[in-house]
Amino acid sequence: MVPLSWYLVLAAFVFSCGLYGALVRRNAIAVLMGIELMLNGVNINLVAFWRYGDIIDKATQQVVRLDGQIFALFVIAVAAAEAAVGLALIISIYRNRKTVSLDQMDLLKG
Amino acid sequence: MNAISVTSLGSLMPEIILLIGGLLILILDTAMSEENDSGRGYMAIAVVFLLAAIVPVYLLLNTKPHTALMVVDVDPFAVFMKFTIYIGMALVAITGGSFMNQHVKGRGEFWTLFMFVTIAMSLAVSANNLILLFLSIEFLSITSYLLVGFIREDQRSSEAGVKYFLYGSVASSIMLYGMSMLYGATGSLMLVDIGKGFAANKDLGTLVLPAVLLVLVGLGFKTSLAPFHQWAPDTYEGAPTPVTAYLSTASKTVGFAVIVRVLLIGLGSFSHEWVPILAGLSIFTMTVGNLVALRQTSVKRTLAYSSVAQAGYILMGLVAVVSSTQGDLKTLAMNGLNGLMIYLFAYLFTNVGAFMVVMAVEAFTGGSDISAFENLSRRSPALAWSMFIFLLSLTGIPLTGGFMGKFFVFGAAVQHQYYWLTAIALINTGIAGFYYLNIIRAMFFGTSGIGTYAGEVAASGEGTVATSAMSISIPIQIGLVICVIATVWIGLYPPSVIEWANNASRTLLGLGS
Repeated sequence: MVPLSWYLVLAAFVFSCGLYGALVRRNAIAVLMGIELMLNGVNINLVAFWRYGDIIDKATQQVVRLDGQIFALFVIAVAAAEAAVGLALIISIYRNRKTVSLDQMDLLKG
Repeated sequence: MNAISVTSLGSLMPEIILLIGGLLILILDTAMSEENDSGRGYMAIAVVFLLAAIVPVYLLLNTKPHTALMVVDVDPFAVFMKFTIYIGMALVAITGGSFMNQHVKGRGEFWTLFMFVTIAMSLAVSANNLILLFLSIEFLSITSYLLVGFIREDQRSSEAGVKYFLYGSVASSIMLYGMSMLYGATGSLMLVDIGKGFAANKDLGTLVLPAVLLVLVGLGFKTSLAPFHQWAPDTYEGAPTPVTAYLSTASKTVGFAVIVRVLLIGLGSFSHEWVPILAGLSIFTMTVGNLVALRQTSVKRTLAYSSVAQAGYILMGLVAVVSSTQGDLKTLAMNGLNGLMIYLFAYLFTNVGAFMVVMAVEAFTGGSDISAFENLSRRSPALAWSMFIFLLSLTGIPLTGGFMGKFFVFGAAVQHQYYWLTAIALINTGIAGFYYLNIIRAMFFGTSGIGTYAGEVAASGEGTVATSAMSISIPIQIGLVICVIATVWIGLYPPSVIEWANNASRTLLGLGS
């Protein structure tokens, strides 16, 4: 079986790519994509920890816990809700300003 | 494992009442047409249900700690926080309601979201499981993004919404990564089991530091701790002022409640790892907040930075709480945690009140710049005097609620021999006095005179408007009176509130009362 650490490295890599994208890109949509990538990195983490955790009941040989998986499912749902709200906000600013560049969102500063 | 029972629904009564209120507004909204719908009905429903939800919370205040539906902790600490949150939201609804009804389209949606955001906060303060914790914080965040950007025609509002959304989602993703590390380290999602896992296995210590840092990014964002505060000024300035009022008070209360719960219950055995981090964050937050607030010209922005600085003082309570042995805490009047709670309670009335004054001035002059406050005492003595009291309370002058909070928090820090931390906090309080007093000076002894407060008014030659009295609507008057009375009342050492806070903090620290 593939060792747990491989999954963790993959998760950390995906998460870091997302974080890099979210911090560096100046386009609001691209930042949103980075955020989704971060959440997916976390999902790999959660499911890997669940799979390698203490989940099998020794006597009956059945899976007794599903918490990590359930958490990952909820994260996917939250990511969808977040994307919906985020896109709605970005569209509302695009209608006013005809741009989604973060550098041009400069009405508020000081 | 106990199944869903009727008795556990009793503990969830406040949330159920709020849910019914929210759904009622949603149903009525579909039945009404947009034109002949002033939104006053929704506002009334929201206020009534928020007040109705306070009743069961009040009854639960001295309850024995128990867990409902396996994941919702109903202990005095959570109940105290719920009490604070509901009062805050009810005050915002009463005072800010008519402002929102005038400015937004889709009033039914606004008030539904307003009720739902209260439910989210209410669940977040009592979640004892990482899943519910994450879900309720996300519920709170996503609803808040919408409320901040709710005035779609206003470019500033939508810009504030987008900025809040982008900062917030990155922060909560980082927090989630930290949560996954906690889960991986201990194999459990329940905070209590995480705490046991860490206490049993000291080898996990290497994981604690990164996990705490990652989780604190997300929660520090919610409470606007520096360096995660950059969103706060922009969002507070651009958002509709009633939304700002609850973001800076109720939402911040939730953030602190969650920090307390995660750190004390989940990571209590590694307090020596995170206390220095919190102390550093606290100093950095209050210093940055106060120094940047000094050079602001907009009152709304000044209050935003001041609320960043206040978060630093509040955090001191948590720094002081765990640094002594448990036996010691029993005899202490100030265990830090009760200071944090009293501070949050007093801060709620003060800051909601201050933002409501800003809202009233904004509605009249069209801006929240300091020049809009020039000679406010002549245009509206009531507004000026209530703002005066709120600013004194924010500074921490005795006989105001703010003093009570600072007294307990600083006192706890001194008792635990954090002299340097207290000294820095006192210096910061002095710095903060400058910009608070500057607003007071403008209100009472404004020099730049009449007509300059709003460019348009001066340009159109109607300078006389500046001297005419400002009319304040009755709901705003009621809200302001409540805020002023509560601010002064908390300053008079009210035994009941202090007793609740003491009781709740001792229960959470596992001491019994």
